Amino acid sequence: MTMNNTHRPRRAGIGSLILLAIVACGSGSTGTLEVQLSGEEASQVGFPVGEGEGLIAFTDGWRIAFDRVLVSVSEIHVRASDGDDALVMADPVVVDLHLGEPIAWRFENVPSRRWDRVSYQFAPATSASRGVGDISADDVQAMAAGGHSFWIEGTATRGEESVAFSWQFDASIENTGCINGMDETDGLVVRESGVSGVQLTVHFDHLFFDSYAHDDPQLRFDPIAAVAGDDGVVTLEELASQSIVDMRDAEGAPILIDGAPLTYDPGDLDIPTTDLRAYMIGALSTTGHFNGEGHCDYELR
Amino acid sequence: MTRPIQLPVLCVRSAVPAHRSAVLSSRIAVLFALALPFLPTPGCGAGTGAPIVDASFAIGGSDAARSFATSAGWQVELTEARIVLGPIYALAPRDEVPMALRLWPTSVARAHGGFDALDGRIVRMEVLDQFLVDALAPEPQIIATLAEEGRATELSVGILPPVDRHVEATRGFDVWVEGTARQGETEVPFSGGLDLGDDPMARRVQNIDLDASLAEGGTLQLLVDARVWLDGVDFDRVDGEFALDGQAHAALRVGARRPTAFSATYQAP
Repeated sequence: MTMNNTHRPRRAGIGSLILLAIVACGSGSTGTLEVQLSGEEASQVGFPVGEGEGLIAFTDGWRIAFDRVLVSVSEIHVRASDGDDALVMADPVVVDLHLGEPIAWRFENVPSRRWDRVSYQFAPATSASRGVGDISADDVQAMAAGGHSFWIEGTATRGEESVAFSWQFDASIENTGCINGMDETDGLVVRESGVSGVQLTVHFDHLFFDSYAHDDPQLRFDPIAAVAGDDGVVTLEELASQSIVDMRDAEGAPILIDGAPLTYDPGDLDIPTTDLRAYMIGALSTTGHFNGEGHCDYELR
Repeated sequence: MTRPIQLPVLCVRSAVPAHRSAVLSSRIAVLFALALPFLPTPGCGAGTGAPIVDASFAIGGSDAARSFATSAGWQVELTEARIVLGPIYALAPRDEVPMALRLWPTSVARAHGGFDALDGRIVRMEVLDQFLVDALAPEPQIIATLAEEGRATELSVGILPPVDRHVEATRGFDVWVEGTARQGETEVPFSGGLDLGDDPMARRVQNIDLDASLAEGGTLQLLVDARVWLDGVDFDRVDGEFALDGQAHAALRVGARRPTAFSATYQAP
């Protein structure tokens, strides 16, 4: 960007401006947009999942199987930074991502173009929420009755140890400015006269990260298992008794890693207190993605 | 006074993290490179066209941190609490997109553990100085600076290793505390330093709430709250100076980097 400046702008600029025009302006044609919901393989088979470099596993040896991975998505917006709005009319839905990856919405006659401002929201289910996929009617009703946005339930095992968990979250989370995980561009493109598919992807491994201060966190369950009550089921309320800066085992002794006390680092997570429940709610706010690995700006409300 | 100039040079705001650049479509990269000469540099003044105005920046502590109780019931008396800060950025709302990014669907780093901290966002004010902040001193340091007019909703603050002139005050650490904690009959004199190491992400604190419309003559004030630094420390396990592999040091590391350890306010002219 120094010497080349004297030569490149004119030639490259003309081509670029033409391309910009193609990208930015619609042609009047329309297409169909399908939106799938997914918790990836992990929400179906649990952890560990994957293999080789893609292996996602607990560093402390626990395995997790989910029984329910209920998620309430209240809205999706497909817009463009030039002010255009696809005006997709998405009704609120509830899905059990343990049971599959259903199509939540199919929008017809969406103008064909790049929509670079895609956003969606997790929010508490209501009586207006529609179940999609194989979710039971009872689960949809339970989500609405409790005003939950997530209901995550399962069992963790390690050798002879077994600890169940049942977490109901009421958080509303806005995911905005989503980047397409398929090609790293902003938003999505609706193709002319065809079906364009996108996926709202939820990464549940984030709930178990021990740090948000760097990009190589470990998954841990020991601090969670340590606060299980007599019923053997860990609730969110019980997680509040575990301090992320003073992790204790079930006997009340500090959890040590290589002789040093285990602490979780919330990094940029905006958490009101330093207990594990607040940390996990903060972590939940980071789970929403777009088309696999694409990131969004997230805001917990 | 309105000045027809760009903000000071602020570059590499929209840097694509290494692991993401690896998957960046080569076609997009080429197209972006072709278009780059015509695009305002994201983050380099953000290219919003808003006027640049004179402003002030104030930074300090609070004597409320001299004596306080922790969540665990320890009564702490602090005699020293210092932190080395900088640079400081006041960020525009997330939905304000730099002009270059409005024109081109290129990739932008987003908030996520370990990712680029500024997220390609518009910077409305930046202060690049290194400040030694006495968190127990209520009188703030005030400097003149420039700002871009407009809304700012978040502050991003860096925690730095001290330059030579600040080394003595912090014993060479990024953060230094000294005092006494009491609970019942137990009295624990303590001191401790925090070194955040080489990870630039660990040195950046984001999500510090701000509600400001920056304008000519206004003052942006940042206060640090040392009470938050020590709230998670289990003083039962402290014996004098915080051990680098001990609970107190880990708690200080988390506490000093919590957004609630900072508060940002804006005083309009």
